[in-house]
Amino acid sequence: MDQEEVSLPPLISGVSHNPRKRPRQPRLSSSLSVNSSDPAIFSSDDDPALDNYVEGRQKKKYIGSWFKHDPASSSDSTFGEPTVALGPKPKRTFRRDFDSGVFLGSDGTDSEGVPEVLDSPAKPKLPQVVVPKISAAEQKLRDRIERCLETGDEAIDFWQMNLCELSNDTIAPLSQFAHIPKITKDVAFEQKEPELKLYLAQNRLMRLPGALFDVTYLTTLSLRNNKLAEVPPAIGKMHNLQQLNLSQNRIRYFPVELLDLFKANNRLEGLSLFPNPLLPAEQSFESLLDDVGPEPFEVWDGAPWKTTENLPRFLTRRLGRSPVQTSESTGKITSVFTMKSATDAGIVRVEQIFNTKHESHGSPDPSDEPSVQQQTVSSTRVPSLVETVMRSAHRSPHLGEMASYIPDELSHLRTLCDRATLQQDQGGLVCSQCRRTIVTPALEWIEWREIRSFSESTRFGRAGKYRLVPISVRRDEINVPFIHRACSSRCGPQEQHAGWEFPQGTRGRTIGNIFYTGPLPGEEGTPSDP
Amino acid sequence: MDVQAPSKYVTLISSDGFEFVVLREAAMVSPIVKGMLDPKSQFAEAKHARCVFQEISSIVLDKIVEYFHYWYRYRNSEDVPDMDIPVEICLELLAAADYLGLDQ
Repeated sequence: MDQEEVSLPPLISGVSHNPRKRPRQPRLSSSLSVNSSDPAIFSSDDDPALDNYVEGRQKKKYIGSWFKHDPASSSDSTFGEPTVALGPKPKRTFRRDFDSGVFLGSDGTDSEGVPEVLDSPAKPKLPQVVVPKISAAEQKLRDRIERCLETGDEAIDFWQMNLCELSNDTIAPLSQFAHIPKITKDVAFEQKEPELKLYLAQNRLMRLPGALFDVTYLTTLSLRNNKLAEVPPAIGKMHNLQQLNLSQNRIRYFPVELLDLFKANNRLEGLSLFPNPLLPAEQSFESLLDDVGPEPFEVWDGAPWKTTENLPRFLTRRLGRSPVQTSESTGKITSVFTMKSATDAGIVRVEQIFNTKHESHGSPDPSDEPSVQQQTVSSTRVPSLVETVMRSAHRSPHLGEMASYIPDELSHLRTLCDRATLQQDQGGLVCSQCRRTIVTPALEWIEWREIRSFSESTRFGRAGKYRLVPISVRRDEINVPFIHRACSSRCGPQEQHAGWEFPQGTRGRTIGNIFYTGPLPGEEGTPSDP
Repeated sequence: MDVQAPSKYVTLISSDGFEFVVLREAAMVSPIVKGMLDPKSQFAEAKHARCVFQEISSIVLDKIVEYFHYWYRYRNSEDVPDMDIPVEICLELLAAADYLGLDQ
């Protein structure tokens, strides 16, 4: 009873002596967000110094025997002295270097150390590429295209999907489409070109991306019932296109480059252009139409030419032309007639009605084409410096950024840059005559043409008879407006006849109402026979 | 000083002091330069056939002078090659071209 007990130093309240039972400091997630790495613990560390590594613990020093254990910070000789409770803990200063260069993979046991939600995402120090946001519908199309690329599915159906915008990035992968041949036993391995079909009917597209026209293997393109206001001239590049549907849009006129699709080396067979709110001509071309008559052509099938090779599929002829709009390179219109006023008024004045030409012929030899060169003395083909600069900028991918650097005083140049960016997006403009890329066309005018498709007739009960069928039966849809753009007045409108024009590389001839695929009756050889 | 025939060449000076001697006829493509060098006017530029462009650097003026000769050489030809312009000076050149009225 009286035996004196060894006096132990008083316990310090609040501080547990067992380091394993020390209460954890409440962690502040903000202080943690700077360091998401796991604490550095190695399996070889089983000494007490291990505690020093565990994050949030303070380094402790022990002096003397175990029963004198006290934090060294309190005092050196705590013997007999009642120690007061420690004040607030000093702020931790131990922080590992942000980038220690040591990667420690998680073993899945210390997930408590990782905060669930980071307060603020880490800000990148370098400027980041802004990825343009795309709509859900476009994302869907993007996924669809990706799937088609993987599976080799050639038809992309995207009807009625509320697609409002279509960017180049979505369409561009399609140009890499490769046909996946079917591999079956006893069937010869066949390598063929893909025949892509893209159906975008009944969406809400306002404009088309330029990348669409670089998809070489597109054979069917349906854009029926969209909100397209214009068709980019780049459409002439689609050499493999067989079916093109542009009906039920808001198109006022077509680019004259559309006629390139009629050339002999292209494959266009089906073309739907109506209905569209096409620009009507102020005068009707009745007198010209009567010359040919409403009835389709008679076709005389010459005996020696049995082959259907190089026969045209479509024939066109000019009916009339609007006045010419001239503009400066900065986009300022200098002529009285403007395309915009005509579009607003909904009717275009006709400046010239072409003379009928009774006889015309086509030939597979392009050098046989009559070349009309009308020289205007005062004009030059050299583009203005503003235009030259814009063309250079148009070729570069940095055109879009240019506009943002232009000061406010030069806002007209900014408008020019913005317009050029829009054109670049859609595949660019070309001069209708010399096929140079242009930014601001010096001249613009509209020509009305009649289009007829040239098709084999079955009415006569046997093959080999052809008819020229109007592509629309409606009287007001006979004259189709085509916009022409020119780089300089030397590429301006040239006097030409209203006879049937044979697309480049096709053969045949017309005299009056009769179309001859072969030699004329009573004629041995034909002048266009190669 | 008696009235003498205008010289065949004119001097264009950039903001950093470079002098470009250009064929007068070629420089006349710009209506602004033409107005500055009009012998009928009493401008100092016209008297000495020297134009100082305080806003145009030598790099840009060099391209403008190149364009003057490009225009002069091909003004009547049918086949005009493209003039190459580096993208980095496009913006400055565009502003300068607009200033010189080269948009016809």
